[in-house]
Amino acid sequence: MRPFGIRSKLAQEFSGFTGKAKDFRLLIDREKESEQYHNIYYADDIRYIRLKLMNLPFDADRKRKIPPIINCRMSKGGVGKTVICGNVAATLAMFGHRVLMIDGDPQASLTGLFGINWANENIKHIGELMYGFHRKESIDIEAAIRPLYNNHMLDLIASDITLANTDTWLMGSTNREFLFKKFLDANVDIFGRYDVIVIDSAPSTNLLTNSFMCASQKILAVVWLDGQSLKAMQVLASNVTELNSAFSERGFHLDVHIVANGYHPSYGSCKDALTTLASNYPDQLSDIVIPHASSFMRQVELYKEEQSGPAIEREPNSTAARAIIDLTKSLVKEYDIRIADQPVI
Amino acid sequence: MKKSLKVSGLVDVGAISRDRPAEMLPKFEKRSQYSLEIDGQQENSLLIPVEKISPNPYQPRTVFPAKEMEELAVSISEIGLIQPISVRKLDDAQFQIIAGERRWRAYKLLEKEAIPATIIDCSDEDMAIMAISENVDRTDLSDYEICKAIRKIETLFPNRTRLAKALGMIREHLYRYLAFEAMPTFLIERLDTNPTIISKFAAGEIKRVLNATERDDLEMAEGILKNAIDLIETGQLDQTKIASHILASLKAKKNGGITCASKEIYPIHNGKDHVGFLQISPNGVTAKIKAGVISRENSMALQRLISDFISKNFN
Repeated sequence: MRPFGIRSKLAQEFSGFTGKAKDFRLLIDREKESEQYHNIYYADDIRYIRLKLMNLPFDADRKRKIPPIINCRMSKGGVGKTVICGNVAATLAMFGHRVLMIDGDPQASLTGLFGINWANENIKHIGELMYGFHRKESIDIEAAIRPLYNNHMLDLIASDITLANTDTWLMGSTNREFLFKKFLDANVDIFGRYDVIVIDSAPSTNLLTNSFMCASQKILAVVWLDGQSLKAMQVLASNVTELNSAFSERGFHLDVHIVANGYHPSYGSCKDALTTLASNYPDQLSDIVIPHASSFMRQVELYKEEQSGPAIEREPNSTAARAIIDLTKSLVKEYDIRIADQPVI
Repeated sequence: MKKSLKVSGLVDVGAISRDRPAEMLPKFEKRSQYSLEIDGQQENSLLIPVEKISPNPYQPRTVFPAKEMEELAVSISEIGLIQPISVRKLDDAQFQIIAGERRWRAYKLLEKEAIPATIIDCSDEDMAIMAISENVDRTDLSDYEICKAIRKIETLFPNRTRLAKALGMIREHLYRYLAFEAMPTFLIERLDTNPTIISKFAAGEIKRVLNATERDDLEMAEGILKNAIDLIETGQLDQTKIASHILASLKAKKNGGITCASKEIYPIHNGKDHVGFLQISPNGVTAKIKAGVISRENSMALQRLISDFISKNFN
């Protein structure tokens, strides 16, 4: 469990509270912990407050159906999929949403970002769960879900290197593109508890990434602002077009939402790349741009891995965190992410 | 609070622009609004109110299991209707289903108001044929149901050759289906509740055996048949073996011999060693003893013993 909490100012912003700070404190019944100077608010506190502001109890539930899925996707590596995925998921949880993260990358960098060393841990990854489901064996999904924040505000299905084997059996299964969707639907009692599912995909184009895409309505394409990354759009576009034309008869259509990452004001190439993106994708490009910030570089501790954590946790008042918070707010609208089925105002 | 970094902000300060010619990167198609041209060629496909549609009177399918309908409804609610149903227009702004009754029922289950449908001009004769040929090739419609459907439309055709041609099957096949007509009354009643109990092949075999049975034995044969159907239903008799089962049982009953539906095997021991077996099957009784266990003389003695036994007991 990760003891991440935020101070009053951010907590007020996250819960959409506009009154006086004194009144805000009264919304929560918990006493301040003794040796603490600041009031600290955890993810479940924010959910409690937001539900209270909507006159709903904390155990307010949602309908058992699969929530919106944010699938962080790019055919190229090193563009910041994992960084955005982990930070957005943590921020969504701090906004009061119940979040499930799925690490869909055999490099397991999302798993590492949250301080889990896959080499030392017994990890049951999403590939194993899907395989068990495919073979109609009994699978223990609950055991594979690792709680990161209290009260299941942020949960993770971790990954390790063996996730790379998934394609070998997926190749021989029927309707393999929709296997992940079927797996979610069959276990809606578990996955329907969350307000949103966030998936970190591998930077390749293979059967597993296709399977994740076919369960999504809209992928979140992360683009690093350089020429190489823009070229990779070519691969992503043909991947999306292929799936859309193959399954259009089923009513399947995948949309794309693009977020630009790594903007630095002193690099002309960044501005050039962003100009190209803004001109080509006026409707799909997110207005929020993620800067090239050093906080992102400090997220992973090489020698003290268990101390790693997303920038929003480590430096919640940094420029990087601000960009992530703004992006997350826009994604809540873009993907219609709710709290206990209540639309967020 | 720190300022947000936004595309619009960068455009405003002139750091970037949105006006570069936009052909450099591949386009992503947007989700199109629901269109009625589902596979491009159905120009006259429309959304028709569900309650204005009635089922096809020639529909051969009589049973619509609730569970299957629910599953279909769930899949339609998730991924939509892949193919519009086909209907024809009746006089009074009503429509009749040509194909797609299951989909239509699923739409009713989902309480949807309208269903995508293609309107086709079609006569009674075409309608009947279409309903059957839609279903004949699918495995989930039983032979008996197809037989009943064929009987229903038979009168629309001058002779069976034409009927077979219209259905796209050879005459032998048609007669196989029609063999159900010759089944005794009790079997027809059973088929009405459980249409999958025997196939057209088994029906043909039963018809052949009953026709070849002498009039005096007919009652006995029907008794055996009744018993055999029970055995088929409980899985103890393979329906492809029904003819030989009836014939063997009939013979056995007349001679007072043994009958059985499936193989029974009894081991033969010499002390502790397993040296052979005795098998009772619908085809007869077989004893087999391993080589080297009994001598030639003893074998011959056994043969004489059995011959004596049979002539004493059965003559």
